[in-house]
Amino acid sequence: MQRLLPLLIVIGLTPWGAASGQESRAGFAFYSDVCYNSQGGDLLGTRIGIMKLRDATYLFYQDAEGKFGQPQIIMLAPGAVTGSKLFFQIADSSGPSTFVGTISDMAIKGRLTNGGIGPKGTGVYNLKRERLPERAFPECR
Amino acid sequence: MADPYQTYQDLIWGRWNPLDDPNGDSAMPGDDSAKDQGAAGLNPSALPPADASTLDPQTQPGPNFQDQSAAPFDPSSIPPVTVGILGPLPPDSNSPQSQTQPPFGPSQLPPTNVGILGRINLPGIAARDQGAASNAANSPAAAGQYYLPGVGVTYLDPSFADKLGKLILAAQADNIPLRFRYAYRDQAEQDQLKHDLTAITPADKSLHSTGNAVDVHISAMTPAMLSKLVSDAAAAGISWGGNFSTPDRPHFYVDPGGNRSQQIDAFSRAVRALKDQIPDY
Repeated sequence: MQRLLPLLIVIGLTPWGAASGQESRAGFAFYSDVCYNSQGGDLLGTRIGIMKLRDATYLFYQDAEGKFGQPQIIMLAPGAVTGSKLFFQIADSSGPSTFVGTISDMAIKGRLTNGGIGPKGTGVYNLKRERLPERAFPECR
Repeated sequence: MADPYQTYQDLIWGRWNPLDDPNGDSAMPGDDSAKDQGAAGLNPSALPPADASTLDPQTQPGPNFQDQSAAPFDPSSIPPVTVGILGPLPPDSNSPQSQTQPPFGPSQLPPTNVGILGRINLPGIAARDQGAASNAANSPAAAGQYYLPGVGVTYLDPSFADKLGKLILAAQADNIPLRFRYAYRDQAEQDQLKHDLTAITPADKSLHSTGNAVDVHISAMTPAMLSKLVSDAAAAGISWGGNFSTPDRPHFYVDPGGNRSQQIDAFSRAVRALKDQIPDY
């Protein structure tokens, strides 16, 4: 412990340590399950950003079925983030879809209530928390 | 004075947890009911519908914005999408051949020719000038210019387009809301897709670059719809990327075999020749 203590002090004094206090107040979280399918040459998946601003909570939504589609910015309805639950509505050429699921500091998981299968065709969304800027999309598995 | 770098870090590297709130209220400001609903069941019906003006992302320039705290949705306000089978474009009016032919009209459409869907009030393109494009490129590859719903003007291998037309008609008969996301991508765009955004796999030679693949908008489809679409595709002679070892479910394609790199080069030359012949819309 005596050896560990100086290390902890150093970490606390570094920019990372100083930033961590600020990070907790940042108000932005980004989630993604976008990957690249090299067999088809396509980007697949969804990415969601949640911005808690002063007036409201906004959600950035964009999916990829080959390439990224049009992004959407949604002002969340009151109660859209309640506890760990999340729901919001996505505009789509075939009509609005409602996403329901859960959100944590690690992931967003959910589905579309209209039975839509999503851009990966699996019927479920499982987006991991990601750091920005995005550096690379992983190969789809 | 705030350190801008630190502010940037806050924004970009933030570790904010939506569930962490110093006030213990993870919902929107002013939502006093949120705390009480923490363990309550989710009620999607409470969500006000989106503004109908944002319903078609394909037609919206720039990011869409929805204020889901207001604006009732009226489904009747969605522009109707009507389908029609279109054939080849009228010949180039500047070419000697076209001057000997009557004006182009729907009655000229070959009944068994390419069946590509168009939308009312949009340019009825669905066109091809296969021979000219092929000859101009001095290559056996052929390229055609087509209109696909959800994509707009794109370029396809005419033999693939023929099959795609059959798939579109079959989907229409099965009441499958078929829209496309992407079709032709030239090699530069394909490379950019990988090089800028991925750094794991080497650049590949996609069938999108030979005009032999499309990506279907499957997100809103049900599993039953997709299953039916896949069987319709098989009947039309089109393969499905969902059968890849790593599934690519929006991807529908025909693999002509042979040397992919040569095919991409030949098809890109044919597309360039076609673009020289047909003005932009």
